[in-house]
Amino acid sequence: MILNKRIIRELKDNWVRYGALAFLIIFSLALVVSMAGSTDVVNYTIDKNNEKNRLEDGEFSVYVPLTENQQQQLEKLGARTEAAFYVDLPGPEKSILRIFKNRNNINTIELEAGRLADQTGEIVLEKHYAENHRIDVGESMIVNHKSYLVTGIATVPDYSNVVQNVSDVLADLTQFSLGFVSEAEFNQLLAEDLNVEYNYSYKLDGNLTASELKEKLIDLDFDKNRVANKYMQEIINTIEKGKNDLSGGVNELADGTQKLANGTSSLEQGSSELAAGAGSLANGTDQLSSGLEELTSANVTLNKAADDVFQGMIAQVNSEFEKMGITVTVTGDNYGTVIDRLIKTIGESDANAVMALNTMKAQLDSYKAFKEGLSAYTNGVESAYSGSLELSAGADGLYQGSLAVASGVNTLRNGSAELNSGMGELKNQVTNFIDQNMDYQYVNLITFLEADDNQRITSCKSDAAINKNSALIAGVIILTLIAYMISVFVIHTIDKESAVIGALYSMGYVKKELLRHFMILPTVIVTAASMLGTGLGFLLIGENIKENVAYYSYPGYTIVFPPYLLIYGILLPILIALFVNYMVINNKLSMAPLKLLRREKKQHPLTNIDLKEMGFINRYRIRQLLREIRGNITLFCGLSIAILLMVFGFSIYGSVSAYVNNVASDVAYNYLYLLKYPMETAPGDATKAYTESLTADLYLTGGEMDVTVQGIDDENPYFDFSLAGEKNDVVISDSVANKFGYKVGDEITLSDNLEDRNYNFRVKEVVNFASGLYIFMDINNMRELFGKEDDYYNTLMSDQELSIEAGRIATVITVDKMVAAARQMFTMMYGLVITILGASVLLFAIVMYLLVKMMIDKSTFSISLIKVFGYNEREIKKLYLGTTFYTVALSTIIAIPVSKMIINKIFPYMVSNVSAGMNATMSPQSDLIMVAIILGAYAAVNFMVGRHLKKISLVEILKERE
Amino acid sequence: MFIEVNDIKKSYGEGGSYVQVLKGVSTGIQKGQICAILGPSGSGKSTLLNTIGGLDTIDSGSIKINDIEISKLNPKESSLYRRNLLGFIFQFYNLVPNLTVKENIQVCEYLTKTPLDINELMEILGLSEHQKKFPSQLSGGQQQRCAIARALIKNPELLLCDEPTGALDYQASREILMLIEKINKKYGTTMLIVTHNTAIKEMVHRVIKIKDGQISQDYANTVLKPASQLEW
Repeated sequence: MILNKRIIRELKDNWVRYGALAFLIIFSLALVVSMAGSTDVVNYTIDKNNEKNRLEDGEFSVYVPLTENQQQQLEKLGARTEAAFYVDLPGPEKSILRIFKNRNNINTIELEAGRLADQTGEIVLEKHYAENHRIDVGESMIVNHKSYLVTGIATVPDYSNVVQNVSDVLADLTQFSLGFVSEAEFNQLLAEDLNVEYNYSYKLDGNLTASELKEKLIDLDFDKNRVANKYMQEIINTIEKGKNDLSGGVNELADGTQKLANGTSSLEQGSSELAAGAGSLANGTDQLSSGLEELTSANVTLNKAADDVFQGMIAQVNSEFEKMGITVTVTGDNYGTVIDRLIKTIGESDANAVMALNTMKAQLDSYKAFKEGLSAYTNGVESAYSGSLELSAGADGLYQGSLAVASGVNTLRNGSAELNSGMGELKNQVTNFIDQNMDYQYVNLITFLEADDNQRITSCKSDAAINKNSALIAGVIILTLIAYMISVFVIHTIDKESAVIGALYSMGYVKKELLRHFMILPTVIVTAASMLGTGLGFLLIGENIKENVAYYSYPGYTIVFPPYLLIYGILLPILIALFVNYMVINNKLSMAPLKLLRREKKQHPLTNIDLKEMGFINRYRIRQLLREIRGNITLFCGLSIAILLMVFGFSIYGSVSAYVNNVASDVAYNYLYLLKYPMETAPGDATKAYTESLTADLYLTGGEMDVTVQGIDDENPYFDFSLAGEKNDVVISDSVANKFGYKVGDEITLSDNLEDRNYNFRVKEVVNFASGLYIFMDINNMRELFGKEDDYYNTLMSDQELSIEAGRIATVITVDKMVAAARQMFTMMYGLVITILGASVLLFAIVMYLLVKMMIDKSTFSISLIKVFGYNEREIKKLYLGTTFYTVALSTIIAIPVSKMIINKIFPYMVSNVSAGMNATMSPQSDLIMVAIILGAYAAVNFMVGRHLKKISLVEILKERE
Repeated sequence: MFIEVNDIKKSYGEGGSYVQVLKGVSTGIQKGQICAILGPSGSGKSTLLNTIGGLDTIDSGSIKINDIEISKLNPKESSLYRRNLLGFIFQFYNLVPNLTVKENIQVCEYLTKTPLDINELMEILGLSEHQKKFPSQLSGGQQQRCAIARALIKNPELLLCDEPTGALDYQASREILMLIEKINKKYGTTMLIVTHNTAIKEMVHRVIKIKDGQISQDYANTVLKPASQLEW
């Protein structure tokens, strides 16, 4: 169709307009395609690498390595496992290298250069670490005071995000990375009593699910005595000792109660016998008293008779003396002396007399002794009687007492029997308790992590996916805007050529032909621009992927051309352009030929609005604005999209800046030690806390994300909020509130996936704490909730670096590290921010220039007319460009808050894979800068369009009109 | 009769703005004739031309062109009717600004399978030397000649001219009228010319005067004055 010849001329005549539109398309598509393409390249590269190097389905760690038999058992069930033990060792420049041995079946090493380490003293380094420390293959390096020859540079699929801990916000590629050594070298390291993590990777063959595997691992038996880690062994020993002490104590107690029972039984028997004996004793003493009483009554008679006998014997002696002629008289008292003197006096003269005297004396002595004995006896009987009376009374008391004792002993026996029986029960219960609760199954499993939940594996792709989705959505919005802008220009052309079109209709042209004709230019422009933009986008992938490649660890990428992206980059813009232009042009060409010939235009009802007594200039501007309402609406939309992009750029900048600042200001301690094996006594200069890692449902992704629950007490000097409240009350960080959408008063549920337990909490307060995702609760409540001892802790906070054995430490978090990680995020985002801001300013200026110029073009006749009337340039600018100011001002006033609202809503999705909650934040300075950019762009466009306005020749305009 | 117009009525607007432009116009024109429609502004002459050209509809009556009732045609058929039978010439030429003279003519050459020889036509219309020029590089007369060539290229049976000299000066107007006369003679094209220029009535076979929506005068000239001799 010859008519189409004009297309190229139209293009030439309006090359600035179409060139700018094409530039916008090329620019937008190049950005979108390069961003989305980068994602595809990343995905492709990662997927290919994962497949080639047999990425794990998950991993788990244990205290005691699995036996070969256990591994075989698991394999039979459907889970192939491979040891991926590691030790974290100090490397150059205070860095930490996680050393693994070479892998054979799962997560195998992808060499980028060199060869695997197959000798002792050799090491293969992760590529970013090697690059950051400028270490090449063939060079040596010191790891843990030992020199290693670097034989290769490599990546592994299970550490594409090289974070030390799975919950780390960001990787620090200079400070932490991986090294791979030969099996022999690794065995040597194991022999050095280092803190080895017994980690395993697994792959499932489809017959076993991950949760089934976890159950199996929990149930797997293991020898706790083989726990190699001395700190863990220490804990086991403490637990076992406690358990044994308790068990032994209960046994001793049981034995004691048994003995007590036996003793009380014997005692009862004894006490009964005692009572019986006491009874007999009482009877005996009574009889004794009675007997003694009788004896006592004969005492006087007995003594008198004995005295009488003695006196009789004295009298007989005196009588004999008389017979013998001895004139001395003896008495009972002096007979001995007298007789002895007599014997002496007689001497040897009368032996018979002497013999008789000795006999007399012996008889008297004998009887006197009897008499005195009798007297003593009677006295004794007297005393015995008196004593027997007392004895009888005492025996009675004893009897009564023994009865009471017997009764008491009986009660005691019953009690001890009950005690014994209760003790048996206690013993059983304690034994059961020990069996059930203290039979620490010593689940060998420490951690269990499926690949899908492992940010070391997933974050690279999910990070890229977010960029891709955002880019694709933004691309469609911008393309639709551009397509609509093109249609606006086409309409402008149709309006301008209305009479010609009417003439063509008059000649017999049909709408279809003209529609096709008018569709060609926008379609060709969009097609060419989209092809160029898409091509450029693919060329820019290398540039775009730089940051991803620099941050994540994966092998060299291959550019791929996914069909969908070709469809998106080329076909979609064409379809959008065809659709939008078809709708608009078709509507425009549906006018009757006569109306087209007469240049009749539909007047929008708004154009007749009553502007009352408004000043002329403003009234004129508003009329002009309403006359060009379509152009102004398009301008409004275009500027709003540009402002949305601007707000997005500033929000990323603001959020990341705020994150960096808040991390530094919110965290009061300088060091936080997470301990795997806490010491019995914490260092005095440290504050104890208790930390658990749980997972929360993340509605943004439909998945889960780790949160850190930290138990602290009210005296903790690093936090200034109170934790007093109900037992399940928690104080959450604003980071958590933002990430998970929690509010004060919410009941939240967090899960311990390893234990398959859920914990419910109530949000008491939201506090500022930017770093990570922290939930705080009273340490005692937390200990109780998690069944820990009253003084349990596993976290230390301190102002100073603490001297703690490295093997006890799981992680050391320093504020400097947190800030450095946050700054790294800032650096990563910086390029994106600049690109977005640049794109927004370009979009803003180009859209404004094109549309304002078009509106001026449409008003050339009236402009020339008012020039004829004598209006000067300033006044003309005021009348025609002033309306643009209204649109710019309106879009700025409306679009900035609306954009902020939109960005606030979508921003969490953009950072949904980051383990920190960030709000879209814009500083007041950003607002001012943005307004300044808008005004600057407006001034620049005003200047350019003003020059165009100046060039409008009234003669030409009038001629054209004629 | 090539053109049969029978009691056509046409009105615009409603209520207070209601205007009846044609109030029962009936006439007929023989094939190959040039007919001038004269009348003051707002008399309805352009409306009559537009209804015959299928650009406007009628409220009642009938219009037959070559026995085809065109008032009953739908837009598509109407386009086809214009495509196959008609050529239009306008007061302001309505040339495609970014096409050359030749290309502007070719725009309508495209619409027919049996076009006239474009070079011959340009020669006849004195456009050969301007064929590569754009409308903006031509004078009004030249532009109108281009418009005539564009209308004629498809060798229409009926050429409708709406004030073809309205925007031209005397000399240019006379040249255009001479061309119209020449073409009529050469190609036998039936022509309907709406004009204010009363001088034209002397060169045409038929004159229809319209006043206030009705034909006030309708007559045939027995003797035609050559266009070159017209004075006004």
